[in-house]
Amino acid sequence: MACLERPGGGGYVRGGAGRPDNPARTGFGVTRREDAGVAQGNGRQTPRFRIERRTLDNGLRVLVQPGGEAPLVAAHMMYDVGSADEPAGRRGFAHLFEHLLFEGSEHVAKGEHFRLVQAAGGTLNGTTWFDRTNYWETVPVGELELALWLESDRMGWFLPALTQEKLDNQRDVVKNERRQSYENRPYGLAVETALARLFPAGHPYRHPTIGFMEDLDAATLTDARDWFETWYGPENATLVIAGAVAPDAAFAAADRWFGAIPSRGAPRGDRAAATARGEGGVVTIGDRVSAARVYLACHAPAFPDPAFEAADVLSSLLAEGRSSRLHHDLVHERRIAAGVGASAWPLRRTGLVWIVVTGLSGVPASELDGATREVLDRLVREGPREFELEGARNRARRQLVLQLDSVTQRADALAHAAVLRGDPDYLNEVFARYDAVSADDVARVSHDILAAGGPAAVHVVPEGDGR
Amino acid sequence: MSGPDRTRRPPSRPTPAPILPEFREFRSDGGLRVRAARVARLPEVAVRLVAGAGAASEPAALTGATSLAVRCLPEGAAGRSARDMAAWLDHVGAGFGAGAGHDHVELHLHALAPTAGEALSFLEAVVLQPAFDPDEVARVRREAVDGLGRRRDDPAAVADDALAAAVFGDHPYGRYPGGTAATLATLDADALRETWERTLRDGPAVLIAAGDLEPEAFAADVARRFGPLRSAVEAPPVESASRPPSSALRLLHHAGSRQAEIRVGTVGLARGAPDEIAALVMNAALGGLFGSRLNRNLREDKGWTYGVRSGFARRRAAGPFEIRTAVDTPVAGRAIEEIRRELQGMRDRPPDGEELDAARRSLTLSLPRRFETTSRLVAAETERVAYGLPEDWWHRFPEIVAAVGRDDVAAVAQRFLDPAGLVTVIVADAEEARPGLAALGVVDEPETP
Repeated sequence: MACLERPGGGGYVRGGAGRPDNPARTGFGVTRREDAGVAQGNGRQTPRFRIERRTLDNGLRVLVQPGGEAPLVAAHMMYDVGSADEPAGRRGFAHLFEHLLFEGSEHVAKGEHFRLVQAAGGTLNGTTWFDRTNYWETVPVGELELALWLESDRMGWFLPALTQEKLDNQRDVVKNERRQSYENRPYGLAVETALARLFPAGHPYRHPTIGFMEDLDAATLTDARDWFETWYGPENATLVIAGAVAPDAAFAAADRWFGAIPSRGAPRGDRAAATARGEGGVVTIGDRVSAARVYLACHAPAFPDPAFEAADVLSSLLAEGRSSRLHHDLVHERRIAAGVGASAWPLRRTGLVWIVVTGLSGVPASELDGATREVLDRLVREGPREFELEGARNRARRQLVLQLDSVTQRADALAHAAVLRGDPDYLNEVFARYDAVSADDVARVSHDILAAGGPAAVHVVPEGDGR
Repeated sequence: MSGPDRTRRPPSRPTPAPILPEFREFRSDGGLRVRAARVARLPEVAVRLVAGAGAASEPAALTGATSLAVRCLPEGAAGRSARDMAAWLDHVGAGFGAGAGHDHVELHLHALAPTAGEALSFLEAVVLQPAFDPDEVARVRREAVDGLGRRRDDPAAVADDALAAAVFGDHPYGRYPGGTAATLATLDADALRETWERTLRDGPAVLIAAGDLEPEAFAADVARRFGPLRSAVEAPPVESASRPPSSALRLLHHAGSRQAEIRVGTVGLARGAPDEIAALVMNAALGGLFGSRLNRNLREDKGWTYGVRSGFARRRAAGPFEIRTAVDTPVAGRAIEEIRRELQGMRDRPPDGEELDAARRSLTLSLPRRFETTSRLVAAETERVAYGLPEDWWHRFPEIVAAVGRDDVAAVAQRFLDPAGLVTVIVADAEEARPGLAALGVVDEPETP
């Protein structure tokens, strides 16, 4: 939502700090950041995080991850709803609604949510993505009750505070967010252009989380009430409390603040796999840019799929580090690109691997595209070498340790594991899963991803340059 | 069902103070300061190496030399080619980054503890024996020039650079540390090697590390490796700029812009300036927090923007005070009027009571987050050392903030927020923006390249 750490259209890669919403905005070089993983396990210490779980009578799932030396606690609420659940004509509503949830509830006046948390030394935000919407506060440990009061008040007492004025105000804010973060950013419309080619009409991932102006304009108070009643009940939410707290005290506090919120019946989400493909092909769009950039997006294993980690390792081999295949070939040897990136999006219904190549000025998109596909073809043909695979595992393990050092990110990773995979223990198992990715696994996933139908491509070219 | 009292904020419970690990200091024979602390929560080591001369110490004709030299460091070193260096680092799996800001050169490293020695060997190679191979330099230079071109594609970056130039003029802080296409074109391998000698090899440097390590043994290892660094020389001083002469308002045309990027700023203050902390408190209330006056007005009341922030960039010399936002283009003029109204309001009605308390608490109570992770701890310690702050700085910080009163905040508001002393830059589609700016008076529209 807010403009604190990250704009609201985004989400996290597996709880990491990667930004899956728009690889373009991660800049040049490697777009993968903070992804999870494991290296060879011989003698390496593997962190283990204690996870305690309970379900309240009203259906709210509560996970407690105690530990950490810092006197901090993170409260992270994840609702199992995202832009993929939006009805026709309301693209962007899940995210607009997320903004509304910061505008106060029956006992919390407008503006107080942010003010109170920041005045307590805390930090907070909310983000919306295709599959989920999350809200979190990281505060000094003595302020856990503050965070739980705020989160429970908006889960249980939101509607009395909802007004047309707040909806109109946040609609304007979100439209400005779309302008600032997408329309007025170089290459900012590439991802939504690719999504429309990757998926057929009616597919839940066909439109971007930020939505479109005409649908934002159409949103009503009735939509907001229906959305809240449908998706924001305790049985559709998971609360993670991580940090310097004792599990019993954390569960008791969660029960105290959330226990009185009535259940609203079983959630109605259709969470089935959705692997239908769109027309693909190559789209060229003009932009006010000095150099062309090529996006290749491939259908890939979903986050809960056993092959997801192999797809993630594949993206690492392609574009993470200066020795990665694309960087070496396009930036160092051919000298046609300024930077490369790749990432595997941890989506629930079907996955995507993105490859992004920014050209040096004057290099045509077609040349970037052709050279990129040559590198991909070679990887499919030859498979990865053990040496480069070892490096990918080592990088993944290090990034996971870096990420999980932070209580905010541990809570985030745990919530993603619980909601998108239905498996909180993934937080600990992820090390071994990356460790186990073999050359055969990567060869297989490369073949499946790159051979079948080929990627959907978006060429962003300098305006007037061959539209 | 009876539950807790929802009608008011739950009372705060005591939060223990963060326990800061002790950094122990060692010195290499050559003079490199090494500070190391043991934090063994997770099997990781974080390292930062800071050298005390950044882009602000460059002659204007060589702007960008430090940045380009630092970019070239890993592109071949210690007898290994650029390709071999890349393969080495990527196989170890360590995170490595290097950059030059206005004040410093900074290199950082993050590694799993079992690979920390290997990662340090990589750092040692790039710091002590960079090759500056002419062919690699030519490639990296081309990439850097291209990066400048892409920077001009981005209205937000254009606005940042334009404000710096308008506020600081010919002062080094008016220049982008990455240089210009013209200055980069003159930089060959020899020039970059000289820059490296001046800044990294012979400049004052400190290496800060924390993680799963034994400080003494670690420091001895670092001192042995980095012995050749001659770190005794003081960094050249940077003089503070004088305030810009007028409240200029500049409109830069960016064809087809979908928003107006707005920057309002002036010369702020330096690290360690007497009123530095009062300025931080004042800024928290003005535009440093989500619930600050500017954001409440422009976003939460008007809906004109996704967000507006203000801040003091405190550097070795006085850095900029700056307000940044992007608004719907037709309301750009009204947004600037509101910003000016809030600036004047902060002078007329400085924060007091709960508003002042909240600003102070946001600074002190957030300290535990600054030291939470190994990487952040190293970053905080690096910041302290790089700017010569006292050893007990973070311990004293809460008291210093608590001592800032209404009068102190009022004084900094008077000093920095006079709307007549602030420069305004707008980057927008000029056709669309012009009508809304009419009420603001004279608008300067310089030619845009």
